[in-house]
Amino acid sequence: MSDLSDGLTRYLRDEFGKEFTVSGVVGVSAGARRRNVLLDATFEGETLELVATIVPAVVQQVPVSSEAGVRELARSNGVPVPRVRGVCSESSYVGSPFMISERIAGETVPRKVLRLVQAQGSGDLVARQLGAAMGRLHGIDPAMAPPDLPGDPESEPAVVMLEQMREGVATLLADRPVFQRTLSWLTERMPGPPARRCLVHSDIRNGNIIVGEDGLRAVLDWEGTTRFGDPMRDVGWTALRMWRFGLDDREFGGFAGRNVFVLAYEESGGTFDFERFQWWKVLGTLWWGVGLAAQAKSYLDGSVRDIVMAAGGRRIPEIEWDLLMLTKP
Amino acid sequence: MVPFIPTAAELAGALAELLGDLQSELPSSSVHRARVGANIARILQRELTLPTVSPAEDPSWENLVEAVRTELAVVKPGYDSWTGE
Repeated sequence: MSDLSDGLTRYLRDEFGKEFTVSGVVGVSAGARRRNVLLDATFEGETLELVATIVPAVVQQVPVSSEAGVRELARSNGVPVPRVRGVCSESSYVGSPFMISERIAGETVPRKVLRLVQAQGSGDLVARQLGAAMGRLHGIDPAMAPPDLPGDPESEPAVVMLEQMREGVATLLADRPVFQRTLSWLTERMPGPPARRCLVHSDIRNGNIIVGEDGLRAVLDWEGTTRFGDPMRDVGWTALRMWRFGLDDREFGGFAGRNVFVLAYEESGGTFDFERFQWWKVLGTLWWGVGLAAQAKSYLDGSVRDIVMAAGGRRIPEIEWDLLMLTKP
Repeated sequence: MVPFIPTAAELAGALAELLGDLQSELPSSSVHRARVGANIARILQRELTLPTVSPAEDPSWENLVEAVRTELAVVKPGYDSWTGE
């Protein structure tokens, strides 16, 4: 980690003109995607507890400056997000562009989050906080977001996503009749353009949040945010069964049922649309199935020789079960 | 052909036990993959033991449910106990 420490020290000096001492550098997640590194930066007796998110160019969906920009936009509108303390688009410091954020204590591992929530009796609280955070996010004018985030005010989000899913199923799951049946179900129920377009985070769920004894502390992982989307895409995604980790009767993240979430969402300015929510919930489930098939393919074609990728293929029947339960005749 | 002793299913079970036992001795960065490996070995154990079922010819919802139930018995027993949304 010494090269990393040196690079971060140089960045902090160049960016802030201060000789910070960097210590406690430790990676907390590493993979084919992004890398999160904890660090403490000390200057004149004051220590800042920080997280550096390093984004290799090969997995960068949007420039780090745009991701940082939308995070700060959300934070300024009352969505709990770790404050961004620095953005570096150059690769000269740590080998890739990166962001530095304040570090927020709490649990992020889903089963640990649920154990904490059960111990605190705070499931309803967290669901309300998630609903309120999403309501505030969806109330932001998407034209205010950094322009290089994806999203088109003229296109129909449901049409675009369904077409992507058709291609994914044709390529990876053509021999699985449940996916074919689900594509037909979705096609017959196309929701049309949303009445109000919004910023869509696209991955708010148990697993992308920080939770403490006092409830929700932060929403993480904003790299997939799109502009001019359908708000029910976010709401449906949060309600998928795979984010409940066994607490299936609590639709939203294993925290609480739908009514708790929706009440807080609407009190914060959101408008819940049941038909549209159901459509996006089915689409999101199918999307995850295509993702699992892609994981298995990446193992089989040798691009990611990780047993976790191989195992993804054996999870597809779970998705098929969820799809069948969501689309009962 | 006389079956090997232990059988393939029994060896898959032994592999699952091994990977389970090793988890407490592994660095934290490897525990998740070992857990996944143990789970895969258990899936193989069930797959080698349970009878296979031919795909449904009539892909009605009811037939698809039964076909998926059969696969879940191998890859995730109990997952079909939740029939809600």
